[in-house]
Amino acid sequence: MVHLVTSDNVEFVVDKEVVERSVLIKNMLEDVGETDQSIPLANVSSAVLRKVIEYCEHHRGEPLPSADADQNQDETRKRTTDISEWDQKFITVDQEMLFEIILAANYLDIKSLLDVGCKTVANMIKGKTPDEIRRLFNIVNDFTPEEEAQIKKENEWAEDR
Amino acid sequence: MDELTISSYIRDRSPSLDTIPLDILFSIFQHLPIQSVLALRQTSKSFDAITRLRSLWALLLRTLVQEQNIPIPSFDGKSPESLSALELERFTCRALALRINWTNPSPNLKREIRFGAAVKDPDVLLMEFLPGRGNRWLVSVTIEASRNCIIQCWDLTVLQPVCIAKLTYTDETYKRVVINDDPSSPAIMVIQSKPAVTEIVTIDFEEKDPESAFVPLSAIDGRREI
Repeated sequence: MVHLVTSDNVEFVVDKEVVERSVLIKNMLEDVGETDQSIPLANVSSAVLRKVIEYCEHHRGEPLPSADADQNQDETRKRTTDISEWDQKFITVDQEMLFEIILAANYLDIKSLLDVGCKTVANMIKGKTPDEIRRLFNIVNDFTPEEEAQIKKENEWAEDR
Repeated sequence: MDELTISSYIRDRSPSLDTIPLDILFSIFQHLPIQSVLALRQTSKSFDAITRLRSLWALLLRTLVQEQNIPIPSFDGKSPESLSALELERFTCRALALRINWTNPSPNLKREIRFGAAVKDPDVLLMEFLPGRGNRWLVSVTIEASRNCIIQCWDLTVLQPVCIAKLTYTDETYKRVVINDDPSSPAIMVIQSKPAVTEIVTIDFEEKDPESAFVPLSAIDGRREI
């Protein structure tokens, strides 16, 4: 069992097999060997780590992407924004939590979870107008009306560009 | 301040699309169609700047085009490494737009070339590029008045294609023409005519008079399958 301590000082005790889906923790454990000492995760809150562990529990035992499998996996991965049904349900959270999970997956180096997060954000952006994207993500429009008109004109997707 | 308060102090703003690190943003972009990248560009100044980064377009060209084996309509003779951000963006957009058109059941016409045909409404027997020559030369075989056959070679580098070589077979003497697919050979085509002549022909691309630009290399009498 591995002891993890979150930024808000909550301790989690997790199966080694589960927590090793995080390449960061896996490498850390390989470096320090068997230890009863808890690992501090200063960048992850308990609410987020709970979700991350839920993900790792569900995907326990699935093969981790190896370095040489990377290339092939990338090929199929990038073309599709399909997300499995369980992952889809798992990632149906508020936007703040979604980005927290993405940041945690990036920090903990859990490639498949980072991927699910990025695909989810991509799916939220797809097919939306600049205005709709702004509203969805609370992006402040800091263009002057002239700049905005100019940039709109410049970027109209033309098929024969 | 202990460590805990520092980390929560730094992250007083909850993460969002405009605060997440650039490498994560790039990962998101890789799942987006170009239209959405261009839509994001129009949301704010910082997204405008991010979506004009050379590193982003180098990544998108590689992942959305090259790794998907989508053909790129040549970099105007430049190497991809020497291209600017804007050039990389244009090539990516162009490659994807062409892909959409090519795979469309009813593709849009992009360019139309009109030929000054020798006769009005001729029957076209053959229209073929000379292979391995950058699609510059086009060979046409047309029939006039159901009797006379005209073999022509056109230069397409000019706006209005110019006939640079012309050969006429009168009175139904033309049988067929086969174009050599080896561009390194001087023999450009083989023409068979009646009663039983097979001629190996080259084209003198420098010749000013189209009527004498087709130059026979050798002729074979008798029947031959070509």
